[in-house]
Amino acid sequence: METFWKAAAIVLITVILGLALGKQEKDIATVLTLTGCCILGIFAVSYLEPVLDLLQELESVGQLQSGMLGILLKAVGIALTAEISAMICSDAGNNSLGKTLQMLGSAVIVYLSIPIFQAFLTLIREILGQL
Amino acid sequence: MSMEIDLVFKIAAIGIIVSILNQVLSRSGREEQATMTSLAGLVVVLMMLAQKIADLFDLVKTLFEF
Repeated sequence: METFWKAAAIVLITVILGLALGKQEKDIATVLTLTGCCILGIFAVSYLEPVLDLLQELESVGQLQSGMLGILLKAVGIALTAEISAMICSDAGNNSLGKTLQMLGSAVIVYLSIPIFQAFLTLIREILGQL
Repeated sequence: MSMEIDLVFKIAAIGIIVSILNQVLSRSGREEQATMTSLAGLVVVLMMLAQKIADLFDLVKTLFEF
């Protein structure tokens, strides 16, 4: 919990330093923002570690099909990375790059989830075959 | 934790120094040197950031089972 307050302080300091730099050196101010985002991202992902352990425990308790949770986790990772990168692109004034990256992230997630859709289709066929 | 905030301060300090150098060189009529200083500052800062980005991506990869 202590880390949260420290992270909030880091964000405020980064914003103020970025504002001070932004007038003269916009590129270095953007790099400063990116550094802040990286540090916060590392904190956030570290906090997610126990949550993922809990999810794996739930998977074993519920006896879910193996590999499905892995695909979901990959999708979450791609979504997080694409979202952070797209927001930084928007901040730097490159909205088009950010939007394209988000589109790429969506495409990769759809590609990754093909096995889930196929399993769903197989299930539907089995149900229809039983009728 | 102190390491993390140190990086932010380092980058801000480099930015301020580069900004001052840029101003001084511009006022003394050395525009091309001012541009080169600005570019060098950006490269140095990017080199510092690259390691952090690699750390973040490695963490995401290991945690989300890539």
